[in-house]
Amino acid sequence: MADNLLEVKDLRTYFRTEEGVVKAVDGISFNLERGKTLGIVGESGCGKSVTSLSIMRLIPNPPGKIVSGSIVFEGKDLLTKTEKQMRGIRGNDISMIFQEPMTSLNPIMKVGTQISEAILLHQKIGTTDAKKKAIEMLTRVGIPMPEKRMDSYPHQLSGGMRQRVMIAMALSCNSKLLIADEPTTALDVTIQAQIIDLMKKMRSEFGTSIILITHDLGVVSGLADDVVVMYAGKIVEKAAVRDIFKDARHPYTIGLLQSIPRIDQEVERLQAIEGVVPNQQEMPPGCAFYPRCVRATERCRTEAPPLESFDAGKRAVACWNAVKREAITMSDTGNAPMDGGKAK
Amino acid sequence: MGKYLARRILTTIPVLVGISFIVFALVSFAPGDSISLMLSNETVNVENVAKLKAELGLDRPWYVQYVSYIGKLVKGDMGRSVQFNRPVAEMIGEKIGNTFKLTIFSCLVSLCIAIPLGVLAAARRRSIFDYSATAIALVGVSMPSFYLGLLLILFFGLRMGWLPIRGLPTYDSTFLKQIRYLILPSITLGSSMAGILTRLTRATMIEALGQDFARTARAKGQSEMGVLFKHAFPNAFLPILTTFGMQFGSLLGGAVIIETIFSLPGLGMLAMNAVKFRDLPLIQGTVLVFAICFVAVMLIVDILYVFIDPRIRYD
Ligand SMILES: Nc1ncnc2c1ncn2[C@@H]1O[C@H](COP(=O)(O)OP(=O)(O)OP(=O)(O)O)[C@@H](O)[C@H]1O
Ligand SMILES: [Mg+2]
Repeated sequence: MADNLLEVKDLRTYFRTEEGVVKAVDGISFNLERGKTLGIVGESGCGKSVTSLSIMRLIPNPPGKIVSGSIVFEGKDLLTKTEKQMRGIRGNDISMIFQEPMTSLNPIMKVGTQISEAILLHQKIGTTDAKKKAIEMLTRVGIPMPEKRMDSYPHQLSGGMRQRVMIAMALSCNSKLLIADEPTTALDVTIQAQIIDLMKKMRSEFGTSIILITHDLGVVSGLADDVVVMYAGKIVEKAAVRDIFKDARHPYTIGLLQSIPRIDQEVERLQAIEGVVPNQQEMPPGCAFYPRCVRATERCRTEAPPLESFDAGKRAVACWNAVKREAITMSDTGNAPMDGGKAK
Repeated sequence: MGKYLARRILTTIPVLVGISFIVFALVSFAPGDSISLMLSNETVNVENVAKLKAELGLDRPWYVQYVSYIGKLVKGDMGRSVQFNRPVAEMIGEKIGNTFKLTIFSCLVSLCIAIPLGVLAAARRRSIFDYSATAIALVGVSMPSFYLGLLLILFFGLRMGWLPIRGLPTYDSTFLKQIRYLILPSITLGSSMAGILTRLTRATMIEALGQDFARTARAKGQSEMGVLFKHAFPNAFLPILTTFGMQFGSLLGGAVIIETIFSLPGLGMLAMNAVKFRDLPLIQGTVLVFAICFVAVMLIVDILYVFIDPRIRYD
């Protein structure tokens, strides 16, 4: 069996709102091997952030609640831990960086103090040592003049620098798992590339496993080993990164892929997936993607497709009419191999 | 930062000039002149009036009078009280200490109530505690202070006999003894500020707790108390400080009423008497001092801001 750092099983996180219960995460399962990087992709509102906050046990309650499932980290279920035990894990074993480096740092506290704070919370060392450690972390994430930067306030740093500070803070206690929730979305393209490079470097230096949340498949291709595609709180496809780009099966994944700009293809316009995610109250009884799907059939409307594995459990897809790679070739060549993928 | 502070301090000068002018105009352009008041007991003849006017310089044009008024003010001369025939500055000097005690005490009372109540209400949002705190705050805001004062006098002073209800002993009295006399007036005067600040603290704390940096603090393993007091409260404190400064103005206004209810010999009571007797120089003096106090508090608030909020330092 693979050495799993994290095993999420049938996680359900619901929010009680005035319009009714929102099933933000609705029965998802995935594993993360030690040292690997898992990408979670999907449109806005599909439950990516709720998934990561569930792992941290930081879902605001009320209105949110993890209603079922298990999150096994290093062999122990996080959902059975006390709040005090969780505080020892947050920032220490599992840490997180967020989308908005602008607002994620406390605006009226020096960045040095904010990094030292994380160190002091988890390590039995004095303030001077914590400060030294913080300076070392700033150096490692490539911030020039780290001693001087310790005394800067967040507004005196650029967006990219702030995200570097966040990374320094997250890794200051040698976390085993780093959850990065859209770490590059708010940055401009060149800075994005720098931050991705930095995350790669940090991953190899610290041996950290990463959960990378993004709606940008391009970022995933640069960093992740495996990908999970989410739609409306459920996983619709799981695969290794190279399989997703070569051989996506779910019509939604294919839609996402077609919306990435590519240099090697001259397309008049990028294709967007038509329509919007249905809201919880008008969720169809069948497949949630049905109203927008180009391959939808009558069955999709009434019956939700389960997530079924294939390729010896390495991949999975939840679709009644999953695209078969051979099927595509077939229409191109005129041959008709009847049994393409095992996917249904 | 030094530059910013210097600039901020300099901006108070035009404000002070404006205030002095309004105070001056209040008397000079008000209907009914001070001469007729001064002479109300004597047999008035036109010659006397003219003589007195010339003596007091009231026959000169108003701008000349204003300049001479300012000139005297700068030297600390606020004129003489008509009623008591004593220098106004001296009378204000005697009473201002008591008013300081009352207002500072009231501020302390309201901050000590409002901040813990507001912070806890925000931390335990939608709990019984939150609802009670909101209800208490609403009562504080909406109850007229003179009415609350009378209720407190009735209950704690007369019915239970726990606390003195009037005056402030000055002879042979320590500050500790005086505190007993200040409790009821301070609660009365501070109640509406306490209500306003409780609601504001609750609102700004809820906002701060929902901010990304609070989530970051939790994600690094900070306890809920740590998030509340190390991260959320310092951020929430800035708007609280601003409102505190603004409310200080109403507090000074309230002091006039509260000092009268509790017979506290302070600036408010002095002003009240001055109005009753149309003692114009004394009215001028007390109004001027009240206004200067307010300006000073706003200045202090702005200076504190510079020390607390790093973002405005180098603007
Ligand atoms: N505090 C909350 N109260 C009510 N509903 C919530 C709350 N937080 C999240 N949700 C709901 O959960 C769903 C998933 O939200 P989530 O933030 O996980 O999306 P996301 O995939 O991270 O999107 P984005 O790409 O915009 O960050 C949304 O439909 C949202 O309405
Ligand atoms: Mg999100």
